[in-house]
Amino acid sequence: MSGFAPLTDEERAVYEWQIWVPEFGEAGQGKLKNASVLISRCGGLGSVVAYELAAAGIGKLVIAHAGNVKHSDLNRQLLMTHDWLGKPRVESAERRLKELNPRLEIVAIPENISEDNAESIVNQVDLIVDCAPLFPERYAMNRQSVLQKKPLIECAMYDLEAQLTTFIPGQTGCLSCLYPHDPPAWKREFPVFGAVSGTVGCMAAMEAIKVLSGLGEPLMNQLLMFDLRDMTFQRNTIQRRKNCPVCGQQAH
Amino acid sequence: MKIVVEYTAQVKKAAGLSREEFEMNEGSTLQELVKAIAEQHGPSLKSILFPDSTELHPSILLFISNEQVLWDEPVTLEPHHVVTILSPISGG
Repeated sequence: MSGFAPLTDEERAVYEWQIWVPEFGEAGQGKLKNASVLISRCGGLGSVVAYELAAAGIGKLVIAHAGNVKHSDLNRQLLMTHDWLGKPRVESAERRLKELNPRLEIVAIPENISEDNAESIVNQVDLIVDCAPLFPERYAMNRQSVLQKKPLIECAMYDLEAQLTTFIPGQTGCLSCLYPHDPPAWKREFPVFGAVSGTVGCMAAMEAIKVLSGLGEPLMNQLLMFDLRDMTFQRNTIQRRKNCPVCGQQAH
Repeated sequence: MKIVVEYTAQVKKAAGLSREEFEMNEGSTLQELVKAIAEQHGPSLKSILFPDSTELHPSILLFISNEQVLWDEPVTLEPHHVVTILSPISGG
């Protein structure tokens, strides 16, 4: 996006309630309008992240997600609708996001992130929200986050549990510090409720808003873990590995 | 001494509970505790924690009272410690 686009009167009206938030204001809203975010994929987590960022007035979303809408998507992938079964997921996501925010610029990519496409896709945005199901996709985004010095928000879910952290190159470790190897026990399909992905998706969207606007204190060097089964929340300090093959050469 | 141990995600599923107390000798290390946990709970948990060898799988995270501890850091346990064992989760 070239130049800094000021808020219009319509935008001031739409975002009035969040512009009232102390330390955010019109300046924060202007930063969101001029910011771009990659969300990959747009499933249970990514749908909610995208919807909240669209509602908050982000300027541009790049959404990457392969495949067509399936019945088993519909309990949690809130941008997918019954009438779009069998049709591309990114089309359903784009349509729903545009209904909410017609001013939003959307780049819809009908592919999942891989080592082949990560560099060019990450190059289009200011910040990444990692909502991918498979660790190779996550590692591809993490590598580009470090190389291109772009913040990466990691959100994850399982059963009634979720994890969230924010990596900022130069200020924190990276995903490879946290999980140096692909976890052997992780399976592509797993038990989960949409309300769990929705909870952590909202939190990840808030992290994105905070990082982009300078509001509050992002979850840097900390891993938030919670279990909605008994409503326990823990914030754990995490380490940066000096010998990390991805970010270890960066200035500490 | 009794050490409180908490499990998350697939580690919790394999252990069959989210929290328990482990009786350890004074001066025991974190490594000794994790190996004892794997032995006591049997193959399903052991295959997640130690799939290939006697070294903890690098994707498993350990915390003592909300601070991450790396497997190769020598840490002696103390009675007030709460140990959390975390397995990675992802999205979709």
